[in-house]
Amino acid sequence: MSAAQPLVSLQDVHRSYRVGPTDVHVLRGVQLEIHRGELASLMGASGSGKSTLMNIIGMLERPSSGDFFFEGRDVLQLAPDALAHYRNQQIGFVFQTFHLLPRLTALDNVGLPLLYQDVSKREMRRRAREILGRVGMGDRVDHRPNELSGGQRQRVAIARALVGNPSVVLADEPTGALDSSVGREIMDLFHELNGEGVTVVIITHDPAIARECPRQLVIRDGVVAGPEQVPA
Amino acid sequence: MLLGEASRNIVATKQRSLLALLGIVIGTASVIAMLNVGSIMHNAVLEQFRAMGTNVINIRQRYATDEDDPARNQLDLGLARALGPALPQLIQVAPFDSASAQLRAGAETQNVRLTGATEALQGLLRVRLAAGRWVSELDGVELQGVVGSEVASNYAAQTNQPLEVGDRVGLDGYTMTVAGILEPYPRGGGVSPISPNRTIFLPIKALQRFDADNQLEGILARVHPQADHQELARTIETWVEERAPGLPVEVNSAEQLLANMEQQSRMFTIMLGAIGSIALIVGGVGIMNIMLVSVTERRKEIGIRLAIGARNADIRRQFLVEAVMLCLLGGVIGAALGTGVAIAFAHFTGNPFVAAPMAVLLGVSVSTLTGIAFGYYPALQASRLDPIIALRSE
Repeated sequence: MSAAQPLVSLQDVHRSYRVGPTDVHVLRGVQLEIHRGELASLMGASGSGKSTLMNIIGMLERPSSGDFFFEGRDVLQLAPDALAHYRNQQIGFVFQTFHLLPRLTALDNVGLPLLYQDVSKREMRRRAREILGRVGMGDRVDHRPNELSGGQRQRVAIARALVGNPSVVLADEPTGALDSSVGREIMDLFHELNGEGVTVVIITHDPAIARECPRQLVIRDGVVAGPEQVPA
Repeated sequence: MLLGEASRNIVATKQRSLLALLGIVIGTASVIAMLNVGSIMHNAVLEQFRAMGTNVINIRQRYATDEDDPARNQLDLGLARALGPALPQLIQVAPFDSASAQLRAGAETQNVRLTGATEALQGLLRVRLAAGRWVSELDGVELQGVVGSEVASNYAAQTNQPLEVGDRVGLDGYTMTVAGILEPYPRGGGVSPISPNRTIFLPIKALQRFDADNQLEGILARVHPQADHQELARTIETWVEERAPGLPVEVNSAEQLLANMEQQSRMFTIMLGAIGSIALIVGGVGIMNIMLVSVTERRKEIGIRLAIGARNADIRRQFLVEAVMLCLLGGVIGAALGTGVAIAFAHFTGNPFVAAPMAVLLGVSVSTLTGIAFGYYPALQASRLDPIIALRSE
């Protein structure tokens, strides 16, 4: 694969929803390329389509029109099971409210993506344990989410995003539900992971967080603009 | 992992799960009880005929003819003696008559049934002697008695000494010599109106002392194994009508009785089966309901799973496994309950409990099928959720 080929390539992506009698046009021709190893932030006002864009990149949602290539592969041609496979192998989601399964321990939560691969239970646990160690949760593997603090839960969620060794981690306001000091630690973790080569896209409301990312994207009027528009 | 998770989810909603299970439990229990009760009844019926065999018929007079009519025909010894030679389908013919009397035992008495017998009756009833001999043609009108096991043991209890062959005992106003003592006879006699355990067998002519008329109680006959019982019954009726016009006889065949009993038990089985099926359907709807609730409640979980790469089929399988596990749990409880009911039934009807060999297997597979049938729709609903909407729900 040539170094120039982008990991994610969106061309003229539109997305509109029907709300009652009217169509709401959220994305109006998004052009975006994300390359391996990038750490990018994506800002935008509420309702600007940040989450929609992330869901499209995460293959949870289909654009109304436009093209989407992942590693050069036309994603929009893929069948639902193939999309599930891509989500499982290539994409790691991190959500604002963590979205851990309350009845499972940290270890089982992290191992969950491997449940949908041909991985033995033993191997699943081994890898989950290893990743939990990497995000600093090695001593909390048997805790359930309600026995963990917000920051700890987000670390577990990040571990879950990483366990399948994805090409890109998509984080939707990962620090939004956390104290600023804890948010700081989570951001440090993302920097650290990025330093190890993980591609990360962070959606955020916080200009400070946006600014510390090498690449800053802003979504406005349904299109993605470059870093010069990040408010100072 | 899949099973572990499913059981965790069931345990997490214990109360609700148990309530939803009730229908499955009742349904499976009915199915299992039905099969076991059927098997117990079947066995009981067979047991009744085990002693005598099923190829036995009983010919008896349907009602008494007018005694004042000198020309009347009745079921008597002459007729019985002629029957055997006339109909080759009858292997053995044993006319018998009965009466009752008081057997004296020391200061006490017991009521006994007297049966007037010929030599053939022993082979027909298949009674076995514990001591002594059976009645003989040569006894004539002598009171030589063969005593049933219960009569003998009652006598022994009343006099504190066992009854022995050669003993002379008081029977109403007469003295009877004990010619033989019988071994205990298996319960139930099929078509036989005779309960050997509670009977003293006397030579059929000697019985006339206790029962003056010539009318027989009945004629037992063993039928050739290949004979058609229904046809034979008609043949006998025709034969009797020719020989003794106006004599009302009826022929009870063991095989026919057996068929009737089987039919009855089949009806019973069908009824219980219907109840079981209805309960299983109601139970299945209960399972469907609880699974739909579960899918709604766990939309977010489904969204998370879809986001991290679960295929629709994975989600479907997860909820299907849960429904089947729930039903299987109900099936196991129901199987235990149904077996319990069958054991109780056996106990109260005095029959030995005989487990129907396929009952538990069938019950469990029926409940599993119910789980699949009624769990499929909720599972399909779950797998078709839009991950975005599912993730947003609380």
